[in-house]
Amino acid sequence: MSAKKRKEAPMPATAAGLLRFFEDESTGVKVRPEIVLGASAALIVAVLILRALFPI
Amino acid sequence: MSEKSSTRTFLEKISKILPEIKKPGRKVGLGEKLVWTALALIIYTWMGHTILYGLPQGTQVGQSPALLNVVFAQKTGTLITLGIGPIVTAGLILQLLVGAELIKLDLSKPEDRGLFTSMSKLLAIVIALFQSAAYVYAGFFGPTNATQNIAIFIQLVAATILIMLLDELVQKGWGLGSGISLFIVAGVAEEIFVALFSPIILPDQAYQGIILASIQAIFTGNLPSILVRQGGYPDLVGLFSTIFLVLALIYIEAIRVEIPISYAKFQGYRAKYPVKLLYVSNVPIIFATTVFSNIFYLGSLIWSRFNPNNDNIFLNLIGTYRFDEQLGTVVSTGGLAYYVIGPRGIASVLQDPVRAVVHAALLIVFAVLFAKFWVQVSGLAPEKVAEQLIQAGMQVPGFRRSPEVIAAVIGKYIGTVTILGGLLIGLVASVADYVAVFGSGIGILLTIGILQQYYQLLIRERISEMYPGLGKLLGRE
Repeated sequence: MSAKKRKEAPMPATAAGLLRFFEDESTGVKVRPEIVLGASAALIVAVLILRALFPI
Repeated sequence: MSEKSSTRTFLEKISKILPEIKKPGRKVGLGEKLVWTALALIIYTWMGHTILYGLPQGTQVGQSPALLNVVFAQKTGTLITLGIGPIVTAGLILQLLVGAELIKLDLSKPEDRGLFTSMSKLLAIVIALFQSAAYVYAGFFGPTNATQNIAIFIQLVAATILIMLLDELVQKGWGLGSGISLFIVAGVAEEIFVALFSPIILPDQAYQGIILASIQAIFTGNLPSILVRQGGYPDLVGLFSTIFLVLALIYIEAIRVEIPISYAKFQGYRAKYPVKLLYVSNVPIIFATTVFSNIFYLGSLIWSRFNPNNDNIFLNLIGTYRFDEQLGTVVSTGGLAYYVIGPRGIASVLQDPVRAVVHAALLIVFAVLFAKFWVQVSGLAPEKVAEQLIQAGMQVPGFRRSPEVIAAVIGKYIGTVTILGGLLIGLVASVADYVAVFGSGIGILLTIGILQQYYQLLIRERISEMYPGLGKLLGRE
């Protein structure tokens, strides 16, 4: 019963207090999640290598 | 009017080149969701342990200038120096502008919602550019040369864009819940773990981790020495306060007023509409913290550019700062920037009780104000709730079925819990730090709230996985 009620009076989708509307497809450049994870890992590795080999 | 619409076309053009995570376009299983979520989390944590290239040798990492970094999942000196700060700040600013109707966006329209998302991303990048520049200019990392500054700047901006996408990845159907919440919890969890078990020996000759320090103290028979420790180090008072706070918050989280409602069509179908004491949850404290941390950072920028010797009377009102060699970063010593950051630990409270009182007052006032604001903006207002209930064919027994009447009935409770909840959260967040709670008061507050959301989310996912039909009934549109 309580579950039914929740459906009918939904809380807005919030994360850490932010209104987010990711359910809508917008028009930006589409990136696959693998690419983001890969790029992040690449950034980390690049920073590590630069720190080790070319300290400034 | 035409000027406004040209701004809009401009923004729509920009939104076409902003990177965005591809939607799964298929049903992602719970197991796969957990994997994506874990990967995003691992990458974020790894970023938090990657020291920036170009940081001067010997700069200490992870020491916060302020205790505000919990909310933004930041770690000074690493790739997540800015953390989710730009994202949250951008979202907050846009929400304020839309809420105050300074930006005309109708968030019930999909195309306006899309534009809102693009605009907050754009603004987040702009803020990241600004903050990164501010960090290097204000000398947050100590004396750096031009090459180092540029390197740090590029890394911070790149990291922010990637963090933004990581968050979107989790939120857009690949992962579970929200990336932002996840990163906050991970940061707090790490801090609590360190406070409990860290084997590092601190300047007071005791282990950093309170468990190890306790064992050590029992053997040397010097237990009182770790009851209260200087400098906000983990101590026994902090340990017991943390345990107490966690239990208290779980209890408070469950406090609610239940308003009986029933179906207008079917007699006998009765339900309850719960109005929680923490109706507005953690939102006000996040807003307040965002404002405070920006005062701190903008103040430090003004200080380093125009008032490095702290001798301008007017600028001193904003904040006086100094570079702390031991911490390797800038700390505030006076003015508004001093009071937006609370003292940590009983020892520091006793050093300057006025600061503790002023900080608590500031936090509580802002928390209540933002709580009231948030209720209006986010569709939690009594009028909106009444509308939803009536649309769902519900009524409050004994009252007429008109939005105004129901809003008045519910509003009585919502008005009270909004102020009370804001007050309570502000109080907990400030006072918890005075007793040096592990992971900071705000951190624990956020963590309890977020973990509970995740718990409910996981249950719902499990159910919808096992019984797809039932899952549809349980709150998934």
